[in-house]
Amino acid sequence: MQFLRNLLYTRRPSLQMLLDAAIVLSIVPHLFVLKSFTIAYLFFSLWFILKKNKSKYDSLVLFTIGGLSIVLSFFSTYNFSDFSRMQFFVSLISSLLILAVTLQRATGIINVYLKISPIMLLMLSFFFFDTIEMLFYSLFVFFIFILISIWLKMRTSLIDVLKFNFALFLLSLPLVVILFISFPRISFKKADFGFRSDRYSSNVYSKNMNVSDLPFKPSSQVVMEVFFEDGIPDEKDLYFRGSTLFLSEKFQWKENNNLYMKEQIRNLKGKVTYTVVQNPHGEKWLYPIGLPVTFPQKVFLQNDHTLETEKPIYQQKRLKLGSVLQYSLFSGNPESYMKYNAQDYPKTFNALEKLKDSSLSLEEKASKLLEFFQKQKIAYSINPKGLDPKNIIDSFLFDAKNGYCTHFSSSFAIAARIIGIPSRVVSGYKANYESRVENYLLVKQKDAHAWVELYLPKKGWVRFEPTATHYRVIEEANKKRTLEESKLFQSINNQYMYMKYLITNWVLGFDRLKQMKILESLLNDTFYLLKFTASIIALVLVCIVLFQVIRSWGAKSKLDLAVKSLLKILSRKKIHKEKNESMEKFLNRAESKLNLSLYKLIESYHILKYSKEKGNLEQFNEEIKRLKKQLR
Amino acid sequence: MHNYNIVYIMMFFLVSVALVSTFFGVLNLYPLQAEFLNHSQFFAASRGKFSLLITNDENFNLYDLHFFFEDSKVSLESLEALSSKVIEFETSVEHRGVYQLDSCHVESLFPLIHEKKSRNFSIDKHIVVYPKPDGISLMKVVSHQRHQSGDISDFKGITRFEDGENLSAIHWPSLAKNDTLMSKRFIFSQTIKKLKFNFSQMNGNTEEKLSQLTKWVLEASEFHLDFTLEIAGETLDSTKDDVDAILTKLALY
Repeated sequence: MQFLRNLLYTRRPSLQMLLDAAIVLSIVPHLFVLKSFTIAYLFFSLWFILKKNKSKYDSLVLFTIGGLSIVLSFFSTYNFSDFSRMQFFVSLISSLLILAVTLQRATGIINVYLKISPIMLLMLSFFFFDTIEMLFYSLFVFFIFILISIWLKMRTSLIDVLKFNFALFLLSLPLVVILFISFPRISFKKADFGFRSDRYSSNVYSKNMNVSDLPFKPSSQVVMEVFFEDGIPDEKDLYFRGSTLFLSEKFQWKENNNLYMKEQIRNLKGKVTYTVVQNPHGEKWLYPIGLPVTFPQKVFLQNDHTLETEKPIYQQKRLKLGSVLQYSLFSGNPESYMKYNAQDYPKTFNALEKLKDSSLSLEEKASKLLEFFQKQKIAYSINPKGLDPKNIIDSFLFDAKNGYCTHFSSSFAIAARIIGIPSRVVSGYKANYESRVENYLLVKQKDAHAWVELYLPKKGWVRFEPTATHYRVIEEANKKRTLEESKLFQSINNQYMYMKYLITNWVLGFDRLKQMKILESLLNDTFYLLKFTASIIALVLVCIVLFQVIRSWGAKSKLDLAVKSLLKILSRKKIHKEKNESMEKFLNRAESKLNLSLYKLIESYHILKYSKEKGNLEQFNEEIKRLKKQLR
Repeated sequence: MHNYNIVYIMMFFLVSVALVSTFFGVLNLYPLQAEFLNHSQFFAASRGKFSLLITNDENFNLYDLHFFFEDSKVSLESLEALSSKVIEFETSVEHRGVYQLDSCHVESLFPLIHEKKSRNFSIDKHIVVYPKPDGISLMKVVSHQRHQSGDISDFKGITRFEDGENLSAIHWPSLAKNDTLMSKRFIFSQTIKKLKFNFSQMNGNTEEKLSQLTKWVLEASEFHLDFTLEIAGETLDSTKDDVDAILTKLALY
């Protein structure tokens, strides 16, 4: 706290120090894209600049090492055929600029090039990132740049400059909003020469599903963000289809696109329109909710009713999709989903033989199968114990009796085939309302799920949820509850992600189309026009109120703080300073009213306030303390 | 750049901050008040000084103030809320007579350097510029009347200050040391009772004569010599008229 207070009351540092701060701030985004040799050079140059004993060969040494580091950085990764690549070009300019800045800084001379270098570096960093974090960081750096410019003129304490700068930005905000909405946008397609992310997070999802005794490791990594235009569907319908799987081997479920070709879709109901923000996963597939019916160009509907993009997704992708939640899917070849080998699951086969041979309808058999699963009293555990890797299904149902969705769905699908019902496993994500904020839904890695579809003659493929038959949930022993699992954290995280989504959608994603939509609404919808005008007026008023609050906020100096406490002490004795009364008059009045000698207090105040000699603030504070004691 | 919106937003902030800073810049000059305070004696073809009282009427500080009058500049880093500062300008006037101080102006680059804000202050003050003191020294003129008593600047001693005496005769060291008001006495002042200057009997053109008379009036005043000056049918007496009034008469001749 003391450090913060001292920092806030720091008088204006030297121009060099302010410039150094600006350069450091503007270099930070570059650290994420610069090659390791250049980063190493950067830290070396920092030591070089800070070292006390300077030599006339310093610049030469720095130039040689800097040049070498740039050559090493780029020689190892690129060849000159890549010169046209934007990444190479921008990275090279960035490295050269950093070399020039460090060389100039090492000389200790502040020239105009050094002064404009923070702006150049910041502008270059716009090429690297297009995220909300970059937007906020850029605004922060811009705020600091303006603060530095003002501080050079104000020559006062940091807190005064901060207050002034906040006021300046607050009053600028309505103007920025108006400009942002109304400034004509370029109608050309957005340039796509930015950096492709080298790192994308591959998720736990895969097109194939192996049934094993390996544990499932849930993570809170966000797979996609979904925003439903007309309200979020029921929680029971939040199934995001990844792939439809056909048993190919004993323990592996795989896709077989040829199988799904003859399927017919009927009775489509409950259409939802939604925007998906798909995080990069290096694959082509998407996860639509229910059954996808509308999708943009360069997205293709697959035979298994899933969607795929033209190219693997390496950058965050925003897509507008439409799906139906209620539908009937009829297959032309349901018998293809009946294959199984009874010898692979002898216990299961024996246990279900009666049900298989019963005269019940397939629907009744399916219900009985669910009851059978419930009677087995199987626990849900992400870290299953006691499963026999050679016979997972039997050991899951009869011996170990614990497992997760993969085991439940695999066993249920096999069991269904045994009793004569065509079945298949569908993998994807099952989201829940815990990750929801209004119409916004987060789908995380831990929502990865597998369920079963059974083919019932009159209904077609019907979704079944065998995992819901679990008897209890086994928590991992000795598992520490992480911060991520706390409800509060989740709620804050959801809100944060939602805000981020809204800002990304409306700020970073604002384009000519959205602009035209707003303009059209303003021209045609009087209520919208009124709402829009009222919002702008409200924003202006809020900014003005905040501006006033900031102006009157806090004291100006340590002396003012001390005087404030003195006024407080005297006001307890009902001695109040009048509006236009000088401190001297006020203290003299207090002296006569209290019948105490305040001579030293008045004298030290005057020295601090008016004398050219440096006054002793501690002595003044001591006098205030003494007065406080006397008044007790 | 992938996303133009970051660039747009930065650009809009830049424009908006620049516009709003203009408002703050104007606000930084708006509460300033300039009031003419005093001035030194102005002589033709030489530099003189005048002072202005600069006041900040508002309860916020003002920064980066640069005051200009003709070719001279005075800078104030800041002016605290509800406070005043005195600034002094030095300027030269070529000719004797009445010199009109019309206005001065203040400039500021606060808060951002992209735009210079300025404001004029009306001073509207007349200053009488005395003729340039030039010519033969009074000491030389009266040297032929020199007595054995000594030179014009020979110091005799100090006596008690009497009412009506010229303030320039005060002996300041005595006042400082003993807190008593003493007056300086020169040998010469006691030997020459009263000097007589006559404009019409002097040689040279009008300006030369006025310059000469100005020099003598100043020297006589310095050495506490009483004199009379006849000019334009009027006799001015140093024992009755103030030195500035006599110099004004010369300035406005």
